[in-house]
Amino acid sequence: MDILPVLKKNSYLTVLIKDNYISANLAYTDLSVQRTYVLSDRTDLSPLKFRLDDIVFNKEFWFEYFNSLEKVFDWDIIDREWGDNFKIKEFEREEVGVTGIKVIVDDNQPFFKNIFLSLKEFSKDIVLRILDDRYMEVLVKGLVNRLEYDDIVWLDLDFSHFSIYRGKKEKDGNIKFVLTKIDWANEIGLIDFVKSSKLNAFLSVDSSSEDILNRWANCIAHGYEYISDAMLNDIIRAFTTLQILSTKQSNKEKFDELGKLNTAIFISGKIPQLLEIRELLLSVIDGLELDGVFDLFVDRESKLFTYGRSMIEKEESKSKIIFSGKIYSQLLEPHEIYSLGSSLEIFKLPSRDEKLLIEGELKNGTVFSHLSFKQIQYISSKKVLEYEYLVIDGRSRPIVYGPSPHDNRVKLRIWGNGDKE
Amino acid sequence: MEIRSRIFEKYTNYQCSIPLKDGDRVLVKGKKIKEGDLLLEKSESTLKKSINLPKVLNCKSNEGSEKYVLKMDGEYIEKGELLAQKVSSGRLNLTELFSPVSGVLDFSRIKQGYIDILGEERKSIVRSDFTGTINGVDPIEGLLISTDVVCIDGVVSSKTEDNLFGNLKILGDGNTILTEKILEDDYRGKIVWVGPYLYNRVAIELFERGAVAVLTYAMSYTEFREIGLPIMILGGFGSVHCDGSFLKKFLSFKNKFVIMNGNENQLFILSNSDFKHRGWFVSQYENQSVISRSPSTYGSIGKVLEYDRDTSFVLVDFGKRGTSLIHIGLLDFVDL
Repeated sequence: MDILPVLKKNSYLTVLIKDNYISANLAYTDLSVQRTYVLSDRTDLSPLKFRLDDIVFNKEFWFEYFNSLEKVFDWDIIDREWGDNFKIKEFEREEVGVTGIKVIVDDNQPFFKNIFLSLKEFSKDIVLRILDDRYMEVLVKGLVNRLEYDDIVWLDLDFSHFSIYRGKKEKDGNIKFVLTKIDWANEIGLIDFVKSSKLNAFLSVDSSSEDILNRWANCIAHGYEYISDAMLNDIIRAFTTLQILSTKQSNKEKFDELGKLNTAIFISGKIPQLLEIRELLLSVIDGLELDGVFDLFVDRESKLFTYGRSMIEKEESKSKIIFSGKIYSQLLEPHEIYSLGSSLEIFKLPSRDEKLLIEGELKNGTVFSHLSFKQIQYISSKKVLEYEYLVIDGRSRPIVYGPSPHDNRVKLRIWGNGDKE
Repeated sequence: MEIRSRIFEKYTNYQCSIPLKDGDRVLVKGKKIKEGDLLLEKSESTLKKSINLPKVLNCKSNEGSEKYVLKMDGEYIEKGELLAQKVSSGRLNLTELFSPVSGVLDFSRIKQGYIDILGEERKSIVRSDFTGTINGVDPIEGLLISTDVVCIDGVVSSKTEDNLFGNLKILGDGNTILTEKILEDDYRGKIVWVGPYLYNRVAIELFERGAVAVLTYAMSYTEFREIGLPIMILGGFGSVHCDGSFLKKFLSFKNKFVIMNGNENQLFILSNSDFKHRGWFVSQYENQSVISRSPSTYGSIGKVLEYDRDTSFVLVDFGKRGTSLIHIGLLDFVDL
């Protein structure tokens, strides 16, 4: 039996460079046996924070990174036949090869240009994307549609950057996107903030103590990855609550009706990794002054940044099965056929048989634009009417070309993607 | 995956400059320079008195005290002559500074708030203790050179507009917490390592005695914020253990030329080194060197004995300090 592309095994590596972290997620999918998993790794670039303006990000650095990632994931990523030239090892099977590598670089990442250009020069096999406000807008709006929420609030919480994105369905069906950000220009300001009277109002420890100030300063300067100190934990909880609350209070119009609709809250960044779930919930609920019912998702491995766009784009391209059927012949076993939405698929029918019976049904809510039935059945007969091909055009109407040749190339690729081997 | 932090980084052909003062004469012949070669003839005068201007005139840290000075750099001043004057509170308050000694005014540290009054002049010869190339002499930048350097990242440093240049002076044995009682009279041209911990009063005394900058492993965050003088902290804030394995290597750079870059937060030591760095990434944790950020062992350097992936806890051998079980998020992997 032929296998649809969507059912084929594949593995895709997505790397996100954001807030001095390299987050790598390798997704393996074999839908034919319902086997899907994601391998994740995070690398803190903080030890290089004073070197990022040097020529750290060179060919050796990235080679070494992917080399080490191979060991961590126990997965062959590099095609070593090319020596010093980085080439992706083509996907063969589980643990061998990847279908592609995408690197997403946050435009807020220190020395973004150095990193981006070094990757561009490193390998042509890597797809490069920039994570900016536009990227987040498309992602948040897409998630509202894809996950069928009316309101999605995404808090990306790092010590030096607090970003809140919101996508809310309006009465007219459009999705309104808003964002707010707090950026700390330097570490000293961030450390000194612990002495502010505003923060003290949320603390359960006395921050004027010399010892606490030293511990907080060390935590910021060294970029801890884990907190074992109850006092630091309390400061981070209070700091997070105050940051979210201040953001909300100074942008009231952007946070109206929060939690009143069918709401989901996503949390990402470093702070959710440090705080226990109870403290994190206190910060988010009290900071956003939430009540009502909402779903809360904590993304500790940046999976939503790395695969969120793929998820919503897949939905947009309607790459789901819209037709399934069987070809019955006199000589061969029944032959299953599938067709994907958004593609034009051409099935070659066996020609050795005298007669073929083709049966099929529209799936996943797909309908013919002018017919009421969903099932089709017909016979191909050599002596009467012999069909050479079965063509399923699953592209949604109207079909729009352009506006640029590049767009047409992409569209033609998508339309042709469902064809059988 | 973890990045292996290089405590002592090597930079080859690093381009920097040795600042020249009035009267300094460049003695270098040819483009190449090696250890022991004549570098400069410096005109140095004895330091008669250093005055901390913001302190005397009662200025705020960001006020910029130099605007109240009534004399010029290099001018001779008599004892008792008016040196600076500050009028405040709508002309109701007048603060005046009279020169405590006679001498020549030196404003080379005025950005740090100090005026030096110099005495008699003397000549001294400076020899190179590094190998490199002379790229030229610039009237503003000084002697332009390229050489191999060793770089150490500071945890934090006072923001300074310029690179600060000096000889690395080690106080005492470099490993003892010192008080101001042991200080010598003159630290001009020196970037001073005071040991594992710095008290504010020691720093102030050092600057009173002409120090260009002060280095330490740890100090109180509050005192660091209060002092407003060029200080670089290499370890952290509060009671931070300064590990012997770091100190041994650091102290080997005694008397070397060093450049403190407050903006980049890095210390450059003009010196060759035989460090062999390993790769950036650590994928196997056993037997790797780590520095602890756990409260009980903060600053100690040890070796990883075991790593439990399920709990993310690491068993670390700290030598004489014993072994500890620490979460991997509280360890920095280091290349030492």
